Order: sequence, then C-alpha cells, then structure tokens
Amino acid sequence: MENALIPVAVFVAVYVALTFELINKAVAALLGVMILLVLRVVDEHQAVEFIDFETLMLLLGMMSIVAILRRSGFFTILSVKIAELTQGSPLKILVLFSIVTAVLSAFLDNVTTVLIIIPIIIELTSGMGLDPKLYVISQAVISNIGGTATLIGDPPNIIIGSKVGLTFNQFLLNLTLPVIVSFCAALVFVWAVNRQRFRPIDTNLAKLFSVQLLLEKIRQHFLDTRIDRLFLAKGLGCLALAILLFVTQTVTGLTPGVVALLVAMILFTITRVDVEQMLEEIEWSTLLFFAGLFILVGVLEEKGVIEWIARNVFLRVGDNPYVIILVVLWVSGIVSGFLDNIPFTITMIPIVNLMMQTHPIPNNILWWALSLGACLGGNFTMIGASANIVSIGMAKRYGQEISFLEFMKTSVLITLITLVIASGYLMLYLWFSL
Amino acid sequence: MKEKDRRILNKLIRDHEDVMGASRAAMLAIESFIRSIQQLRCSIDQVQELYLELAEAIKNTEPKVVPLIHLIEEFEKEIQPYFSEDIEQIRERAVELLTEKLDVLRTRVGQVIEKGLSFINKGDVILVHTASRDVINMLVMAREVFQKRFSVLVLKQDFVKTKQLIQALTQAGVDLTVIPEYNLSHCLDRANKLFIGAVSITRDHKVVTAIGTANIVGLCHLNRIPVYLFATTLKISHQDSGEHKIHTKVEPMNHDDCAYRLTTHSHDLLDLNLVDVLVTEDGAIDKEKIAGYVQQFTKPT
Repeated sequence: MENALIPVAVFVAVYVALTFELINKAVAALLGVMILLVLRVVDEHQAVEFIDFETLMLLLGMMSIVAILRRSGFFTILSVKIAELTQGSPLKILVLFSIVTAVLSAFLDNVTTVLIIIPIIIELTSGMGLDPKLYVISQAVISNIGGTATLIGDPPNIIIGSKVGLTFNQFLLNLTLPVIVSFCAALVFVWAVNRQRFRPIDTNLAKLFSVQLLLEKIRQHFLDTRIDRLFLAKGLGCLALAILLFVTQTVTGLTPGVVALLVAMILFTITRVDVEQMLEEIEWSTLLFFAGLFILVGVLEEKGVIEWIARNVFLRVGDNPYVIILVVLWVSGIVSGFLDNIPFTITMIPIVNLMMQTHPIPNNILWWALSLGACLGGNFTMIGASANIVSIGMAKRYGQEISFLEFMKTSVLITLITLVIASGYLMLYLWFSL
Repeated sequence: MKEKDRRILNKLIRDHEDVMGASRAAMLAIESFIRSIQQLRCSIDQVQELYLELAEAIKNTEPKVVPLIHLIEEFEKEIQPYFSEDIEQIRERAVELLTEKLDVLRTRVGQVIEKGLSFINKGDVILVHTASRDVINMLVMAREVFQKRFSVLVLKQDFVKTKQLIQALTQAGVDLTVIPEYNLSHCLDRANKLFIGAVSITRDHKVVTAIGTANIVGLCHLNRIPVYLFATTLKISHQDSGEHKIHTKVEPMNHDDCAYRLTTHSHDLLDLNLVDVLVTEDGAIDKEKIAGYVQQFTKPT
C-alpha cells in the first residue's frame, strides 16, 4: 500500500460528505477526483480509464427510455386501472399496488416507480380516510425488493452486472426466487402487523359509495390528458425490444449498456420528441457521481487499499464459504441501510473479486450475496435508498409527514426478514453447488 | 354513519359538482349508488338501515345537490315495499329503480341541451363562466353537429374546470378567447350573452351557482348582456336558500408577517331576478314568467 494516505483521506472525506449530505453528491465525488488530480496522485488519462462506461451507458440509456415512457402516460393509465381494480378494498390496494410496484421496479428504476405510484396511492387511501403512511412505506420498501430481481432494477445490480460481466438472465434466474419469497414475506408481515387496518369495506354501503366517487375523481385527476396511442405503442414496443435484447444477451453478444442506449436512440428517432427537453429529464448529476466514484475507487484499488481491506477485514473471517457468503450479505445489508449503496457497491466489487480469487465460490454466489445485501439492505432506514427518500418527500408534499422512526418501525423488521430469507436461499444454493 | 365518513362523502360530492356541474354529479352519484349496492355484502336485517342511511347522507351534502335529492327521495319511497323481500330481490329492485332515476335525469338533461341549442346563433359572442359539463356539451354540439359559427369568451377561474372547457371547445373548432374573470370589463362590448349553470334554484328565488358567478352576472346585468340560465326542473328546490347548506370553510392564513382567518363559501347565491332567460326541459322561460314558473315546482311552506 504505497502513497495511499491521500486517496484514503479523500475517499473518507467524500464518504462523509455523501452520508451527511454536506454537498451535492456529484460535486462531492468530482471534487475528490479533482483533489487527486491536482495533487498528482493520478493523472487525467489514468483517471478516465477507471470509469466503467458500460455502467454509464446502461444508466443513460434506461433514464432516456423511462423519460420517454413517462411522457406517454402509460404508467398513469396503469396505476389508475389498478386503483379501479382494488374497488377500495384496503388489502387489495396493498397487494395489487405492491405487485405493480415490484414489477415496475424490476424493469425501471425504483425512483421512477415510486414517483408514479405514490401520488395515486396517497390520493386513494387518504380519500378513503385510511392512513396513507403505511401504504407509502410499503411501496418504498417493495420497490427496493422488486428492483433486486433484475440487472437493470437497482443501481447496485447495474454496477455489479456491468463491472463483473454478469448477464440479465443470470440476475433473473438467480435472484427472482429470493425476491418473490421476500416480496410475499414483506406483504404478509405488513398485513399481519396491521390486520385491523385491512378490514374489507364491502359491508359498509356508505364506504363503497364513497370509493366509487373517489375512483371517478382519480380518473379525472390523473387521466385528464389525451393519450397519443401511437406514441404509447412506440414506447412500449421499444421497452419490449430492450427486454428482449437483455434476455438474449448471450445470443446477440450485446452488452446491457449497448442495448439500453441503442433502444433509447431508436425511441428518440421514432417518437420525434424534443430531445433537448428530454435530456433535461436525465439525472446528469447521478451519472457524474458514478464517474467520480469509479475514479476514486479505481485509485484506491491501484494503491492497494482495496486489497488491504479485503485481506485484513473480509478474508479474516476464515475459509468457510458459508460464513464468507453470510458476511458479505449481512455487511452489505447493514452498511447499505445507513450509507448510500452505490458507492458501497463500487467499493465492494474489487474486494469481492479478491475474495473470489482466494476462495473460489461456485455459481457467482458471492456476487448474488453482494447484490441481495446492497439492494435489500437499503430498506433499513429512510436514507438507505433513493426510493425511500423520494417516497417520504412526496408524502410530505401531500401533507403526510413520515418520521425517521416511523419509517423504521415497519422497514427494519421487513429488512431483517428479507435478509434472513436471502441468507437461507444463499446457504441452500451453496449447499447444492458444492 | 361516522362523522369522518360523512365528511369524506360530502367533499367527494362537492368536488364532482364543482368540476362537472350538479346534473353530472347527480348522475355519477346514482351510478355509484348502483355499483355499491351490487358490491354490498350484508344480512337482511341490515339492508334497509344501510340503504336509508346512505340515502339520508346523500340528501344532506354541503351544498345540497337538489336534482339528486329529488331522485333519491323518490327512490326511498319506491323501495320501501320491497324491504320485506329477500336480499337479492331487494338488491335487484334497488338497482332497477336507481337505473330508472338515472334515465329520467339523462333524458331531462338531454332535453335542456336540445332546447338550449336554439339560443346559440351565428355570430354570437358567448360569455362562459365555470360551465357545467352539459353547457360544454351544448356548445360543442352546436359547432360540431349544427355547424354554427360563434365565438366563446372563456372566463378563466378554476383551472381544472377551465382546462376541460378549453380542451373541449378547441377540439370542436370553436373560436375562443380566454380571459381572466377580473378582466371582463374589457370584453363587455364584444359579448352578447352569458351562459351559466346552477346547482339549484331555491324556493325563495335564489340560484345556487359556482363561485364567482354572482359577480359576473351582476356585471353583465349592469351592461345589459342577457343572462341565460340552463337547468332542469329537477334543480328547483322545495327549500329556501338558507337550508341549502352552502359549505363554509374558515382557515388560518399566514402571508409574511400578516396572519388572518379566511372565510370561503363553496358556492355563490344569485338573485333569480338577474336571470333573463331560464332554459329548462320545457323550453325557454322569459324573465317576467320565471318567478311564476319556479313557484309551480316548489311545495307550499
């Protein structure tokens, strides 16, 4: 570990700035990079080489596709239809919206999903005199669980997939089962703890009547713009094409980043949207944040810091593969609940790589442990995942303040349950693989 | 019914009435009543109580939606003999009766639109303020079906409602100008009629209308612009304006360092004398005959 003091100090300072939100996350990461460049710890050409452009392409492509799809009105139609299907039954609201949230989160980013779902669910539940907070927290938590299932569902998976070279299908095949079980367990937990709040309303005529009026109000409020069917068809067609290309990645040889950006460009061309306007919807600060972090972690890796952490922390746990997997899963889970899981995942990738070299564990199980830990762990606290922060923010805008502890009262136990499920799954997977 | 549920129901009815007008809100309420009856699971002992409890709540919304009250009162009377039957028969009969009420309302609204079409002429410049869905449909039909060329001055007030009006008229190809309602004085020389709708016409000859209507009608009256009121006879109430429960909200406001309590009313009250032509399913009633016409629909005190 030569000349590692400066990069370590800069990295810690950036992490502190990110954790306490002292400055914008992109600025924090890039400021750290600039300090390293000015102090000649690394030169610009080397720094650029550390950036994983595959990840950035995938993120940029998916953000563009989602921006255009949002304009099509498809998601709004979908959520209004779901609201109609529930017919005001509190349990149906929880279950049906959770299914939609989980599925959307698996194929879109979680923040977009909660931005679509939360307003309607608040309108519906508060309009019925139910407490919307429980539903908001559930949807935030479910979006993080659903996003765990695919390569494109959650930023940690995007990073792991791109950096490690795991395919869309590998994520789907290996993570769908624990995600479905975790999803069901989370719903059962929410229902069991709040059973009184999910009583059916079909014995109360006045409530049934109010629900009908409310559903009409929601239809008018959310579907007041005309839907361009051709635009919608193009958007959905391209999303289907993207998923098809993700699934057939091993046949076509196209990486997820290339697929996402290719489909985004096709969409821009065929929908003839105002590109300048669409580009304003891209989260450029997130992309810059990723680029900065890749450089910071790249420098640490080059200076031998990552290897030192791996050898002195993670490899000290012994040779037992079961223990190694559990350590990666639970450390990722707990840390992701309190720190941003994006920098954590970027930091952990070289560490897990080293662990794999020292203790080869079959079927990429260690990567699945990192993915499950980083994604599910985000549910521990309201600052653990972007979807949580956005959901709480939206609820506040609708007059529903959710405190840190209020969120944790529901989320901590769900996170522990899902991490236990993930542990059981990974243990069994390893047992069958050995 | 719990007070909280009653408040929710009142607000929902008021919101719909505000956006669509009283007739459409009444139609929606009856459709909702039908759907809720179809979904209801209860014992035979509870059914009468539940039906009548909801009917009572619907009759006492703030403000009272008079066409709905008339139809629900009829329903209450007509359903009574069937409460001795089994639950499925009661359900079936209730749905039938409510569907009949819905048809009555639809027919009458259709008749008002039909009669109203004759008051839209070539070259008219019509002022429209917080129009109900029925008045919007009438304007659209005049342009699309009868190919009448006229202009509309839309008085922008509540955006949700104004947006619907603008979208519908633009799509129908109606020439329209949108002005804020407080700028009406600049356009009074262009307009030749004002179209308004109503929630109800009370026994003491007041019209319960959307907020802001009273000011506009007053200004038009002073400038001799004829005011056309479109309403079915179902909107004529048996009660005085004081009993119509116009919703009043008092809320604390705080702007910079100035704190005060703001009182707002959900609807305006307008003197029926300011209306020049009342258009109902019976046709147009001239100004001098309006009071007598309304009187025949109100019950004696």
